[in-house]
Amino acid sequence: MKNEINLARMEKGRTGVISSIIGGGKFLLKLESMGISPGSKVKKISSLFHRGPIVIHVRGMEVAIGYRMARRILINPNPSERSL
Amino acid sequence: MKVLLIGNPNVGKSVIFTRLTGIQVVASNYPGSTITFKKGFFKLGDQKAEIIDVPGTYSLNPTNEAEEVAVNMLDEGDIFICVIDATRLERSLPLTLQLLRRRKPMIVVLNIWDETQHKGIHINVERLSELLGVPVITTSAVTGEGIRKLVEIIPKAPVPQRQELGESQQWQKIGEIVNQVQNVIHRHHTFMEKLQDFSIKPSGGIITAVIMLSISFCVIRFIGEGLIGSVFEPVFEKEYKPLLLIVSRYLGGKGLLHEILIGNLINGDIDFVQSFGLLSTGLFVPIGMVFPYVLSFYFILGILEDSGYLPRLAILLDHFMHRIGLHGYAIIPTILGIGCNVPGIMASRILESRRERFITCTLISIGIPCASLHAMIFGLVGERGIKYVVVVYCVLFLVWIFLGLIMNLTTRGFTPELFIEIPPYRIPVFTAIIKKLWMRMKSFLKEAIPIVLMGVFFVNLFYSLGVFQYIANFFAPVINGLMGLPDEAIIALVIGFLRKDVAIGMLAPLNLTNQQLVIGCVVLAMFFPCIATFVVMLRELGWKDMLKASVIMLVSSVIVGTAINFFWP
Repeated sequence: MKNEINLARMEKGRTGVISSIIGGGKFLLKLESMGISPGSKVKKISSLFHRGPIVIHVRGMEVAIGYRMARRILINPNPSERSL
Repeated sequence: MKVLLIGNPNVGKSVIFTRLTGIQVVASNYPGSTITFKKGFFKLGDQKAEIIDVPGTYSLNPTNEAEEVAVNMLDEGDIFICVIDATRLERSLPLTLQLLRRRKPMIVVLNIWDETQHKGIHINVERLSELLGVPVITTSAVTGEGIRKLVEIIPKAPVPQRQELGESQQWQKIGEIVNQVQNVIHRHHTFMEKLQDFSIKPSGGIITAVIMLSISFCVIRFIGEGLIGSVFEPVFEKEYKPLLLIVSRYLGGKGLLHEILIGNLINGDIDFVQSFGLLSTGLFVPIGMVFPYVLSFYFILGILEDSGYLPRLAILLDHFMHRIGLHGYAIIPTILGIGCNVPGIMASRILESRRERFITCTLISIGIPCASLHAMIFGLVGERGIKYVVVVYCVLFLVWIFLGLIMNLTTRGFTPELFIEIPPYRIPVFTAIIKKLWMRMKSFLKEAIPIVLMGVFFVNLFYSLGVFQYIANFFAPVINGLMGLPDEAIIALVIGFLRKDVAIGMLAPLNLTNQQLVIGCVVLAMFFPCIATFVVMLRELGWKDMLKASVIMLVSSVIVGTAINFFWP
């Protein structure tokens, strides 16, 4: 887990696997219902200025997530993209 | 027998519902366009079956009110039809598996099947059916493909028998299913997908929003004005007026009946805005002035809704909207409110927290003028020069923002963060747009005309009874003293409670100065919603919050009206 990074700080265009999510019951359920849970592959599509929502591609759909929520989602970025 | 249509938001449940029952319901391309359930009947063999269009939900653990409605309905159903967006199989399966665990007769429908071919997605339907243990039907509800097969198979829906895994292993299980049945062929990004990516990037998003909104505004005005200028005014002036003048002459040109039906003759002629009779102003205002704008607005809104653009606008505006205590998705009820506040306030149910809904509804009812008010602002104020129209809109927009900022600081509760699925762009289907427009127009005419007629009737009645003098005297200190409006305008404001467009005909003959007209319009928009909006708001917010909202409306409109009066350059 050495390269773990939160979703808000991940670079645009990178892919990775969710390693863990910081939070409790309802928060986890809410994310889970949209396919965001440890083990999900994600690709960050874009983020809007001023800590605006972050758009990711996960399980065949695009989802927009608020900035503070995104900070609680930890990702293991795909190491083969290091050259970026 | 009760059949439930269940599925994620925005998979086409409402379109299937319409196909089965023939009942038209409003469907759009964004999650959450169905906020309450709709019931209908359809023929199943020789018996009649009831079918319910359940609001979309991602899971059986509801996170907002619309989803709660969905979950509470499940026990009532005899047969589940689980609708899946075939282009997004993976995200649909959690709900499908949860439904299977309920052990009720069930059928799975892979809707939007036609699009899988364009997208290079191949799904092995037979294998999917085997894995789920229930029949799987493919449909394209917009074109009607596959619906007949669905109807045939409904009575044969089996109870799922498979042993299901616990929730924790759900996504693992789904991964296995998807691997076995779905095969996606990689290909280059289509133009639509490039556009999709472009419009959620910060810079691209702003460019797209500016282009989309200015085009929409121009087209709405172009169609609205065009219809008034080339269709409605000529018909009323050249075809209808001569008929009405004959009636007027027949009635002798005056008297109580003439007053009520035709109204006052202005220089011996009928003036459709000012005469104020049931057959003159009572019909002209809703049909000749408001209807064209309602029509053009809903036409454009329909296209925006079905294209899938609105959620992207919500994402772009999210940060700004948080400043006024809302998240970006609140822009959708707000935009709906521009046509009529009623659907706007109902759509606020897609928001999760009470606080957000309270702020959204209050802001819509104060700062967002509906089609009747637009018609009035453009019709009455526009005659005095476009700069006054700009003043009215700017004032309302500033009020919307400032009230939002204040309410954000003072309203208790929290605003959850944005968390939405973004639908793909789709080219709107023309027939679907026209159908939706037709439904909305029918309900506008059905609701608007009787209330406008009633308003005109009561105004005439009260005038002759002298009731208005009392009301005017009562409010005079505020309206006259603070806002500088004449006594007669008070009556227009009071009647505005019935419907805002009735007030158009009442402000028109008062010879108001430009300043007074601007104040009149702004206050009319802000001070209280029309009765239909009031009732819906009361239902959505409850007495306590409605009382709070009313106080905010009255106080803010008096302050703003007074401010314009004293600071007019």
